[in-house]
Order: sequence, then structure tokens, then C-alpha cells
Amino acid sequence: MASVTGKIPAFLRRREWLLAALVLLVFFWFNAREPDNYTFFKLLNQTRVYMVDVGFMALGMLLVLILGDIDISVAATAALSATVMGVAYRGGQGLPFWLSILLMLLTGAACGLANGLLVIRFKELFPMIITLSTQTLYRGIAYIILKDQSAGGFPAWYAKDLGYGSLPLLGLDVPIMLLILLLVFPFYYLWLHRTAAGRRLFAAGTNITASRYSGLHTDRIKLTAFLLNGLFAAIGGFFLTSRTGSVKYTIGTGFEMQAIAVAVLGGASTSGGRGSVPGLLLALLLLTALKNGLMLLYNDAFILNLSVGLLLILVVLIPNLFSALADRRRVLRQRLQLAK
Amino acid sequence: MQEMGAHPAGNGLVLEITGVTKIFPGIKALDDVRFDLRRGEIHALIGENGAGKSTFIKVLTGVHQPDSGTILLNGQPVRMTDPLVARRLGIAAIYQHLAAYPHLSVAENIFMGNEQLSGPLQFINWPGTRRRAAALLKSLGSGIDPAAKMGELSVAQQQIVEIAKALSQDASVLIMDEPTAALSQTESEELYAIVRGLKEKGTSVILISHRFEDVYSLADRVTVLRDGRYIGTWDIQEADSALLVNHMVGRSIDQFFPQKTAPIGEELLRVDKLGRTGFFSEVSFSLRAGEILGLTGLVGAGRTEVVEAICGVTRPDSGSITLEGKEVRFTRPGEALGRGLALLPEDRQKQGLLLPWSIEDNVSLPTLEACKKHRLLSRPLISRLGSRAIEQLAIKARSGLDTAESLSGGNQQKVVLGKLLSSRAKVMVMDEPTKGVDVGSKAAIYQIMCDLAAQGFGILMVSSEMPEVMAMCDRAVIMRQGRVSAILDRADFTPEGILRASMPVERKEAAGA
Amino acid sequence: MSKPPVKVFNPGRLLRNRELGLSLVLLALVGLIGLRNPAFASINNLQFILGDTAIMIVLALGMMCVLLVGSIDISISAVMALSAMTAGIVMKNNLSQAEAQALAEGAVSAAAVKVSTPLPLLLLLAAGVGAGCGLVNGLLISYGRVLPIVATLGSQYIIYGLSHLVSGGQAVYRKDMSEDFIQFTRGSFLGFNSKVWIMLAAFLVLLVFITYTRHGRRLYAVGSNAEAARLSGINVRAVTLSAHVIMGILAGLAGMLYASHDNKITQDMAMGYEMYVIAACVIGGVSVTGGSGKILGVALGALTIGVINNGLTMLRLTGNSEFWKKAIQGAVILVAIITNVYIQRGHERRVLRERRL
Repeated sequence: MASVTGKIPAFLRRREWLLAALVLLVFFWFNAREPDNYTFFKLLNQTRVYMVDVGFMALGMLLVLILGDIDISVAATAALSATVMGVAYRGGQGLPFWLSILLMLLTGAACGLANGLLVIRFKELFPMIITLSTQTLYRGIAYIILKDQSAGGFPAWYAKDLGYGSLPLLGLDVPIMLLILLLVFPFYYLWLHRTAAGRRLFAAGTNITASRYSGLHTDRIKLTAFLLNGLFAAIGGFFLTSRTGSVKYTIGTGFEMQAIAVAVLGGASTSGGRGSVPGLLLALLLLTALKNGLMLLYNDAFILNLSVGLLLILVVLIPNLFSALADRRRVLRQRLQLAK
Repeated sequence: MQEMGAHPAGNGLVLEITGVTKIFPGIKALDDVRFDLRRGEIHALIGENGAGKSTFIKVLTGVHQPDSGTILLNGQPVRMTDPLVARRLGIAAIYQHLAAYPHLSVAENIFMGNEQLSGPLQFINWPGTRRRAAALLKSLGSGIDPAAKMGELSVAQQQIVEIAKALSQDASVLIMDEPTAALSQTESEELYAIVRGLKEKGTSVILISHRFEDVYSLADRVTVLRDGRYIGTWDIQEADSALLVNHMVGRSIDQFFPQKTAPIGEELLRVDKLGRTGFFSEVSFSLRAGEILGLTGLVGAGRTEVVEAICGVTRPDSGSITLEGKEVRFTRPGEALGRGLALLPEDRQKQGLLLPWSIEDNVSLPTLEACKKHRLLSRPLISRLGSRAIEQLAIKARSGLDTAESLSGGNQQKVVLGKLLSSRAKVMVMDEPTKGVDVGSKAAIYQIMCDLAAQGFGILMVSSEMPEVMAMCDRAVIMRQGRVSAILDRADFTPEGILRASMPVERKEAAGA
Repeated sequence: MSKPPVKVFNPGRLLRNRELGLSLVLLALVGLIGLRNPAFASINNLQFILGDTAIMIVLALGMMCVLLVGSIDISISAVMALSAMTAGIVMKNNLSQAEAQALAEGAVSAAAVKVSTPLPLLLLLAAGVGAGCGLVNGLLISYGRVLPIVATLGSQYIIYGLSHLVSGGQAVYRKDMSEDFIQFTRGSFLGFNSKVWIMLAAFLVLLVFITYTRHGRRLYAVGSNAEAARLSGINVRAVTLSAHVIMGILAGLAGMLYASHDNKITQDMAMGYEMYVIAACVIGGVSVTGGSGKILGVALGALTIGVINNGLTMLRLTGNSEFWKKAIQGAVILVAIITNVYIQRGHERRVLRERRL
């Protein structure tokens, strides 16, 4: 079982091919069902709806999952951050837009920081219960601020150029927000898989005690991961709002599940120490293709969430079953050797 | 040495075990082990850590199923598919790492799985349970309140509850795993009395203990296991400790230890009245360059806790630590490591290594900053660290890319050492460096320690093994119940002296000790 | 020999009794809020709070079982929805038939008698659906080794999706309900709403289960030290599974109570309710890491939440206090679990200080 970071080992390499194959499979399956609506070009356009916001959240979630922790509050963080942005801007009557964006980022970072501080100060508690409570808290604060209203009235370029704008590239109309997301990937990959900081993150997730004994500042690593997670969640909320045009306290519901699903599908494990950025990208593509197809066929948020929930469970369950099988096979093989 | 052959049933053998093998993924914990237990005897089972003793118990109590072999109970073959079967057959075990429920009451702990039911609906009879628990505890001479929460009791008290539990199951075979590990002299004597009482009532006892004191006080026969294999069984009169140690270790202990010739230099580390509430207090000693200082005592004396407080894993509540003349206060191991104080932890798998990682990745972990090229990690630099460690410490592996979990215990320990050495330490603190390590690697590690001392390192070694302490250390700090009871120079080392200084005393006795 | 823990009457120790402390806090809350708004402390209102909280208590009983074994279940609101919706749809479909039949047999007006599938059958159906959901959750967690939070996070959305599918996009309104069902939570006995009696029944059953049966005690054992339980021969996986099934059954029952009380069954009903239930358990002293928790504490915790909720509305502190509920919930859970940690740490420090050194 190798799960080292600098080189992508055989196992994960296999997974990435599998994911790529699944993407193609899903694409052609839906394409066959809806040849007019489900095409590569249409899909490309739809990535703004299904891919970018979840993508950023998944990037943040990956850090926490690599640590072996979990953060359920990302969607709530996104909602709160976007709420802060919307309320600060107040349709043009409030603070300048760039300042509102800054506040949004700060909010996201603050939410993440709060989570991180709680996690390291109260090691007796699991991040699960901590982030379950902060999720309610953050969304609750958003609810207090915004109540049942929506905050909108953002500058025209926000929705038009960012939310719905595209750049003609190689004869394709590539959505700008997709480009931004894709641009982030190579830097993120380098940081996670090829720098000392990223290596330390993997170490803390593989064995936090041994990492601490080896001199790593494990508290700081955790804090940083949760803070960045909050920040990425806020960015995800930013892009989400850009295409809806307004913020309600309920935005992003269910996105935490999608973020976890994407990261785990891409190669992370809830027990920590594993994760892959290329895998995450492929998983994101897969989820996008899936969501788009499902919405085309059923146009039903419930069905969508049901499918993603199913996907999440399968994605976590199947490797467990495989490893249990592998262990049994190993023991049987040794027993056979014994019999000889 | 006893002859083991097939006997017909009715030969006075309560248990007869032959050819038992148990495999786990990647390791053969038991290899064709045999054992027999006579009715009413106390049979000691000894061996080093990793010899297979605890797996053996688990097979006997039905927690694990053997992959091959037979177990005869009173002449009848039995298959213990789960612990309940074993219990019904009258086999009970008291485990070393107590299998207790801290949140539940003493009475409930005793009767969990064996609940006292009553009434038509078969509900739990709590008053009856408490009464029976009190009676059992009383028969052991203890006044522990059956309603007290298990987690609030001391380790010694919990042990007594565990024995009460075994008694409640009317066990005919009682297995005790390191029962006196945390008991004082008086408490041990009382335990011996209880065990002898059980023997008189016809219970057969398998006693697993590191303390030869236990073995010689109680056992009728003794069996040695090594590396999962059965080595031999002896009547207690025929077996002196040297013989037993010999078989446990596999070769004569004298050829084992290298000569230590390092000159002793300046004081590197000084500990003054160091204390941590509930674990140790008033601990003072010093360590000089080129010196190997032993820190010994029984399990539970507080040695690991002292060492962890010195190296920044935990924080002491009182006292001071002076490193190279400057007083230091560490909040995490990383700070200690940065100042040149390295810790080789007790549990190399949980605390020392990232098992799924390769040797070179493990070794380079503390010094990743030095393995960078253009802000990114450089694989060649990491590999170099790995190969250097492999070479310097003679680690048996195909390359630096082998994973840590694929290595043997001894080689794993070398990897942890390699990791610490790559970070420029001056003081090496080693907690049980040769625990569970094979013979060849042990010798290698001792040699490494001597080399380090010769290079001017100061080495603080925590060890429970007497031969090791006596052969390797220039001085020894002996701890007892959280305090330093003696600091002996090499010239004054005697096994009895060290043992006596290690054995706990009752508070009232301490005045006269 | 060994010094036994002393058993002496110590008022400090009494105060440390959690249930007593909680009761005092509860009384204080009622008193304080009652001072600001006397209507709050009226018998009528208090009975109302009790009836309202009854559903939460039923759910909290189940959640306690799950938390005891060291697991968690955030899909309970979805289970409530699915169970109620399933029973509701069955009731709705059979209602039409009964109405049609009544008309055919010459009834004056169809509205006179609204009869459908017998209520006990519907309850059984709901409990069955709940049990099924609990079974799936439990299997995923104990045999599939999926992290409980991940399993129930996913199943939450799956079950809500199923509820949506079962409903066919329609809700079940009062007109679709049988008279029995509507009156189910209307009735009173000895001045207390029927919900309270049902809750009491569930409370007693669980109390006996958890205190006097072997299986009930095993929940504690598994949560306290799963390894020891395994060594004792307890089937840890089966025990965990059973905890989830119990939760599912109670969630199904609670769903029916909720639907009857609300006179409405929608595909997304009760969303977010799980946080109330978890808060109730945490305040009530159930450890989120498993192994400890008292059933009385759970009831008191739920009552506390009920009082706070009702009090907020009654006090009209901040315009419409509806909006503060969510944030307060989150804050309350956080404060409660952190307080627990500090209490535990203080306790441990005391134990360490008493060690003979």
C-alpha cells in the first residue's frame, strides 16, 4: 500500500485511468439519451453551473481530507461569505465591490480559522461534531443577516462577464470562470505534491503522532488546512453567486457532500494520508458530466442530490470492500503456503 | 527439558496444544506452537516482546482462530469460534492492557457478558449484581465499591476487578498477562497469595510475565517462546534465569554487547526537580557528552513520561530542563529537535514511523527544508538522505524506496534512528530502543549507540532489560513510582540492587526503606 | 490494601450530578422567561411546550442509542420525511377508495367520514420504513466501514430523494388524511396531549431496554471500549447496527407524530431537525465519543431546547426570533460540547492530583 506524494504510485495511476474512462462513459451515455442537448460544447458551457463552485470547495476539502479530518461546514462558510459580500455591497449603496470581495474572503478565512482553532484546542472532540455545529452556526448567522431576502444588485460585469462570460479559445467558447479554475490547478498540484509544505500535510494525515515526534508543527499544519479550506469555500461561494446573480442564506446546500465526493472520488480517503490533484480534476469532470446529464433528464434537484449522495457512499464503500477482500486473499495465500 | 509427546486422555492435562499456527497479513505470529497445562499447575509463559505471547492468549480465548493446529481441553478437541465459547469452556484471561469499560461501574465490568439476570423477562438484576460483585471483591481482600466508575480506579485496583471478573466466570483455566506490571511489592505479594489460593482450588493458571520474580515465586513450569516459535519447557527448579534469558534471546548474552570506550565530556543535559502532576515528581539527573545514561525501573514507574516531558511531547508542571547550559522550555517535539534533542519513541510503529511511506521519505521528514531545489522538493536530495541512512546503519532493504512497513522490527528501528540522525541532534533519548527487535539488529543498535557516544553524543536510554542496562550504561537512574529512587554508577551495578530500587513500596514503608 | 473510592455524602458531588444541575437550569430558565412574559410560565404554555418537545424526545432517545455506540446519524429528518410520506401516500390513496365507496353506498357527504388504512397499520408501515433506513445506515457503518458522518450525510440526501419520488411531487394535506390520523395528536388524556403519552411510552420502553437488558448495556460497552467488547465476545458490529435500527424506528414514529401535528406531509419536511436532536443529547450529557449518557438527561436536554425555542418566540427579543434559532442551535451545541471537554479535563486533572506520588 503506497500512498506517497511526490511520485504518483501505481494504484492511484490506475484510479485516474478509471476516472477518465468513467467520464467518457457517462458522456456518451447521456449523449445517446439527449443527443441535441448533451454535447461537448453545451457541457463546456454548463461547467459554469456545475463545476467551478464545487471545484473550489473540493480543492479546499482535499486539504482537510488528507489530514484525515472532515469539514462539513464548507457550504455554510460559502453561504456566509457570500452573504457578507452581498450585504456589504448592498447593491452599490454600500462598500466598494473590491472591498466587499475582500470581506468575503476574510469571512471565509475566519470561518476556517475558527474551525481550525476548535479542532486543535479540543483534540478530544472529533472535527465531525465541531464542524457539524459550526455549519449550523455559520448558516444561522447568514440567516440572521439576510433573513429570507436575497442580496443582489452586483456590478454588471460580475454576472455578465464572470458568471456568463467566455473566452474564445481554440475555436471553443470557454467560460472564464472555468479558465480561472483550471489555472489554479497546476499551482495547486505543485504546492501539494512537490513542496515541503504539501509533504508535511500528507505526513500529518498519515500518522499525526509520528509526524509530531519527527518535529512537524502539526497544530499549525491543521490550522492552515482548515483556514485554506474556509478560504476556498468562500471562493466557491463567490463563483456560485456570480452565476445566480444574488445571494440567499440557503445557497450551496448540499455542496459539502459534493465537495467530499469529488475529493474522495479523486483519490482521497477519509482516514487520511492520501489524495491526488489530477484525480480530483477528473472526478470533478465526472461529477459535472453526471450532474449535467441528470438535470437534463430529470430537472430535479432532489434526484440530483440523491444521485450525488449515492455516489458519495459508493465512492467510500467500494475501496473498503476491496481492501477487506484483499486482506482475506492475502491471509488465504499465506495459509496455502503453509499447507505446502 | 521436557519431552512432549502424545498422551492419552485422562493424563492430568487440562490443556494440550499442538501445531498451532496463526497468520496475519504479512506476518506469522505463531509458528507451530505447542503447549500443555497440567491440572492445578501454574505454568509460566515467557518470551520477549513480539514473541507471540499475546497472540497465543487470543487464540486460547477464542478471539483469534488458529490457521492450523489442535487444542485439547481435558482430552477433548475444542474449536473456539468466539470468546463466548472459550468462556463457557472455562477459559478466562486477564489482559495486560486492561480490557475494561471506563465509563461503566465496577460491578458491570465484572459481569459484562455474564450478566446476572432474574425475573420472567430476564432483566438484569442490579442489586444482585452489586452484591455478588462486592462478595467477589471481598474474597480478594478488596474494599472497592462495586458502584464506582471503573475509569476512576487506579491501575492496580482495575487489575483486581479483572481478577474478580475471571473468578465470576468459574474459570478452570486462568490466563494472566503481566498481572503485576503495575503493582507494588505488597500488592504483588497479595496477588501471589490469591493465585496460590486459586491453584489450591484446582484452577490451572498460565502466567505471562516479564518479571522473573513472578515466575520463580509462582510457577511450577516455564515455557519459552521466541519469534512465534516454541523453544522449550522446563521445570522451574531446573531453569535458572541465565538459561531462560539465553533461550528467550537466542544466544549467550555476553557476546552481545560491544565495548564502550567513549570519553565522558561536558554536561549536555540537566534535569532539575522535574515534575508532572500524576506522573512523576522531583526528578533530577544530568547527562554528559559521550555518556550512556540508563533510565530504568518497572513499567509504570514514569520513565517514558519523564522522557516525553524532556523532549517536548508533553509539558512538565514543575522543575527545569537545561540543555548545553541554557534553560529550555519546549512546547512541542519540533522545538526540542531543533535544539539538538532527539527522541526515539517507545512505539516505533505508532510514534516513530509513517508505515506506508518509503525509507527515504521517512528519514527526510524532519529535514524537508534542506531537500529543496528551486523551492520544490528534490527527489535526488531525498534519495541521498535515504541511502546515507541505509549505509550508515546497515538497514536491510532493497533500496530507499522500500516502505517502512515492509521492514523487520530491527530495521524499522534503524530507520527511525536514521531519521533522527539526519537532524543534527546532540542528545539522543531512546525509549526502549531494542524492544521487539531481532537479535542481529539488537547488536547493531548497541554498536551504533557506542559509536554515537564516541562522537560526543549524550545518550539517555530508557530500558526495562537488565542485561542491556548493565552492559551498556555508564550510569543508571532508577525510577520507582514516579520518583528517582537511585542513581548508580556502573561500578555499583548489581541486578539485585537495581531490582530492589525498582520495586514499588507502600507509602508507609518508604520511611523505613 | 488498595484504597477504595470513598462513598461519603458530599454536597459538591451532588451538584456535579448532571441531571440535577440541568433540572435547576431548566427551572431557572422558566423562571427568568416567565418574569419577562408571564404567559410563558402558564400551565397552558408549559403543557404546550411539553407536547411540542415530545417529538424531539422520541428522536433524542434514538439518537442517544446511536451516540452511545460512538456513531452518529444526521439523516433522521430525512427518515422522518420518508416514513411519513410513505404512510401518507398509502393513506391518501386508500382514502379516495373509502370516500368513493362511502358515496356509492349512499352516504350523505363524503366528508362526513374520512376513513383510510387503519392507523396502527400506518404506524407500523412508518416504523418499518424507518427501520429499513436505519438498517441501511447501520450496514454501511458497521459492515461497510464507512465513516458514520459520511454515510448519514449521503443517506440523508438519498432518503430525501426517495421521499420526493414517493410523493410524486405532491404533498399530503389535511384533506388527504383520515380522521384517525388527524386526531392522533389532538387527543388529550388527563390534561396531557397524546403526544406526551406516546413519548412517555417510548421513554419507558427505552429506559427499561437501556438499563435492564443485556443488549441495552452492550450499547454502553461498545461505546466505552469496543476492543474490550470484542474480546468479551460481544458482536460489536451487530450492536452498532441495532442502534441505528432503533434510531430508524423511532424516527419513523416521530415522523408520523410530526405529520399528524402539522396536518401536512411534504417531501422535505423536518429539514434541519437533526440538529435540535443532537443538541438535546449533548446538553443532556451524552458523550459524542460514546460510552456514556443517561436517558433522563436526554429528556431534560430536549426540554431545555424546547423551553429555549418557545421562550425565544415568547420573548420577541429581536423582532422575529425565528431567524436566530439556527445560529443559537449551533452555538448551543458548541458551547455544550466544549463545556463537556472542560469538565472532563478538570476531572482528569483531579484524578492525576490524587495519585500517590
